Amino acid sequence: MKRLLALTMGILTAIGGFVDIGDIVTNATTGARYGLGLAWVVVVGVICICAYAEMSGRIVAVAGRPVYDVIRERLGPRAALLNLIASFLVTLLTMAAQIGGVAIAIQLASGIPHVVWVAPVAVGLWLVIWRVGFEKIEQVLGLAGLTIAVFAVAIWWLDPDWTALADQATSVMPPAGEPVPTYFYYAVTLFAAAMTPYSVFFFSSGGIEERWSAKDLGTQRANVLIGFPLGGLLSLGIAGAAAATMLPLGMDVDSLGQVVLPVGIAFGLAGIIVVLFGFFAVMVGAAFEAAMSCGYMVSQYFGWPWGKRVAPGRAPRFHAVVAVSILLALLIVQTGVDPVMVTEISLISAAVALPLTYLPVLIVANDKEYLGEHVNGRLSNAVGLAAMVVVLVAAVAAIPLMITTGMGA
Amino acid sequence: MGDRARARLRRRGAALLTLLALASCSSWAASTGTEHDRLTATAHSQVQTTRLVADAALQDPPAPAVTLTVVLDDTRTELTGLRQDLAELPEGGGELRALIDDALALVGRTQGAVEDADRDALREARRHAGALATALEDQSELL
Amino acid sequence: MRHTDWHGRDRIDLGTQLLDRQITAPGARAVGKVDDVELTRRDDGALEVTALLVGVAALCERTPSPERGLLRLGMRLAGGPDPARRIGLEHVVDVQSDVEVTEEGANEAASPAERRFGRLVRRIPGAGREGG
Repeated sequence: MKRLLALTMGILTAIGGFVDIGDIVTNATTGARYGLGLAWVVVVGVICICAYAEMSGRIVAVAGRPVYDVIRERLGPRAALLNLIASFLVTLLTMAAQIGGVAIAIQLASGIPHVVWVAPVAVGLWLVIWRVGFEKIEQVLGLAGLTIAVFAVAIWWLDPDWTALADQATSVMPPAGEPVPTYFYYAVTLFAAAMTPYSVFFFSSGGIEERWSAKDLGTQRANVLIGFPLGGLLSLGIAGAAAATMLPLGMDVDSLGQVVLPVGIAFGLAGIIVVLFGFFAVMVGAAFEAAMSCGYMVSQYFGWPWGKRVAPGRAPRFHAVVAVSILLALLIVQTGVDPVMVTEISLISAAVALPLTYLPVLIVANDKEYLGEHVNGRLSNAVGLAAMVVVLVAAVAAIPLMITTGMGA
Repeated sequence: MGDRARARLRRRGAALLTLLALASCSSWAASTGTEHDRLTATAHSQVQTTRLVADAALQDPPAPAVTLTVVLDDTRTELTGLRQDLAELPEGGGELRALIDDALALVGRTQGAVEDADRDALREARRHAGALATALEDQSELL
Repeated sequence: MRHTDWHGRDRIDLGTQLLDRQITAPGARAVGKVDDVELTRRDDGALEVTALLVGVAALCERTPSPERGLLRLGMRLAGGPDPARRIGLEHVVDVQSDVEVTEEGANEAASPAERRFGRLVRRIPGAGREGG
C-alpha cells in the first residue's frame, strides 16, 4: 500500500513537473496558429525525453553516478568544460525565463508590474532551496502544477469544432498557405520545450538526492513512462484551449496574459484563479529545478560535494553556485526584458545544446563497466538512436530557422 | 603559415555564411509580405485579444478585472508601438492608422467596461472588436 | 615487466580508468576529481604513479588555452588561485567507477576554496541543517 502510494506520488509529481514556461508559451503560440497541427512534435518530444530520462535514471540507480559526473569522464576535461559552459548558460536563461514568468503570473493576479516582483521571487526561490527539503519541494510543486489540467477541461467546456481538431492532430505537414520554415521553427521550439536539457541533469541528480538504488528501477521507470506522457497531455491541453478560442480568430499569442484568456472564457473567475495558481506552481518548480541544475552541473564537473542531502555548510561551493546563478537570472529579468522573449531565446539555445546533454547519456547507458547487466537493451538503443537523430536535426536546423523566420514572425 | 591560411579560410567561410543568412533572411521577409502587412497582422491580433477579454468579462462570475486590465494594458502598449512604427513608414499608414486609433479607443472603452462590470458596454465592445477585425482583414492579403 | 595486483586489477588505464574520475571519502563524501597524477621516475628508469593530484590548478596543467584562461579566471573569482593538493597512492582504498580514498587522504586534499566558502556559508542561519 505504502509502495503504491509512493508510486502514485512519483507519477503525479512527474506530470506536474513536466510543464514549464517553455511548454506553456510554445503550446499556446502553436495552438493559436496551427491548432493541434503540431501535436505530433509533442508526441515525438515526449518519446525522446522518456527514453533519455529512463536511461539517466538507470545510470543513477545502478552506477550511483549522476549525468554530469560521467560527462567529464567520457568527454575529457576540455570538451566537458565547453559542454558545461554551454549547458550552464542555457539553463541560466531557462531559469531567468521561469522567474520572469512567475513575476508575470503575480502581475496578472495583482495588477502590479512584473519588474517589481522579480527580486522577491528570486529571493523566495533561494530561501526555499536553502530551507525546505528536496522531496517536499518536488511533491508540493508537482502536485500544485497539476492544476494546469484546467486547460484540458476548458476545451470540453468551450466545445470547439472537434472534427477540425482531430484533422489537425493527425496531420504532420504545415496547413495550406502557411510558410513552411515558420512551421518548422515552431516545431523546433516545441520539441526543445519538451526536451529541456536541465531536466536530465536534475532528474539524475535528484535520483541521488532521493537515494535510488537498483531496486527502485521499476518505480523510477513507471514515474517516467507514465508521468511524462501525461505531462505532455497537459501541455497539449494548453494548445487545444488556444486552438478552440484563438485559432478561429486568426490571432497570435505574444504574452502570458493572452494564454489565460481561454480558461477565463470557459470558467470566469474560478478558472483564472486556478490557472494563475498552476502557472505559479509549475514555473516556481521549474525555476527550482533549473537553479539546482546549475549547482549540480558545476559541482559534478569539479567533483565538489553537492546537493541537499548534506547540510549547506558541508557543500558550500554548491550553494554558492546556486545562489550566484539565481542572482544572474535575476539580473537578466530585472533589465525589464520580456520573459516570453527570454523563453523563446532559451528554447532555441536549448535546441542547439541538446546533443551535448543527450549523446553522453546514450554512450554511458551502453557501457558495461557502469551498468553491468542493466546496459541498454535493443529497444532502448533503437529509441535512443532515433531520438538522437531527431535531436541532431533540431540542433542543426534551430539557428537557420530562427534567422530566416525572424523568430516565427 | 598553415595556421594563418586556415584562419583566413575560416574568416572567409564565416563571411560567406553571414551573407547567405542575410540573403535568405531578406528574401524570406519579402515573401512573407510587407512591413504594412506585418503591422496590420499585429493590430488584428490585439483587436481579437480585446474581444476575448470582453468574452471573459461576460462570464458569470466574470474573470477578475485585475487580470483583464493587465492584458488590456499589454494590448494598448502594443498598439501604441504600432502607431509609432507606422509613422516611420514612407506612405505614413493612411487607413491603417485610422483603424489603429479606433482600436486604441476600443481598448480604453473595454477597460472601463471591465472595471465597471458593465455588461451592455462589454457586449458592445465585443461587437465593435469583431467589426474592427474584419476591417483589418480587408487591409491585408495575408489575413 | 611484472604486474602486481592493485585493488583487484593487474593494470589500469590512466587515461580512461583513473583520470577525471570522482574521488570519494568514506561515507560517499565527494572529495574532488582526479585532476592529474604525479609521476616519479624510478631508479630503473620507469615512470611510476605516486599520487593523485586534486584541484583546478592541476586541471589547468592539462588544459590548453583558451579554456585554461577560463579556469584561471574561475580560481581568481573564488579567492584563489590555490595550489593543487596531492593524495599519496597509499591512501587509495579502491578503484571502481569512483576512486575511494581514506579519511586521511581526503583531508590532505581538502580545498582551501571550500574552506573559504564554508566560512561564508556557515554564517547564514540554517547552514548546519541536513536537508531531506
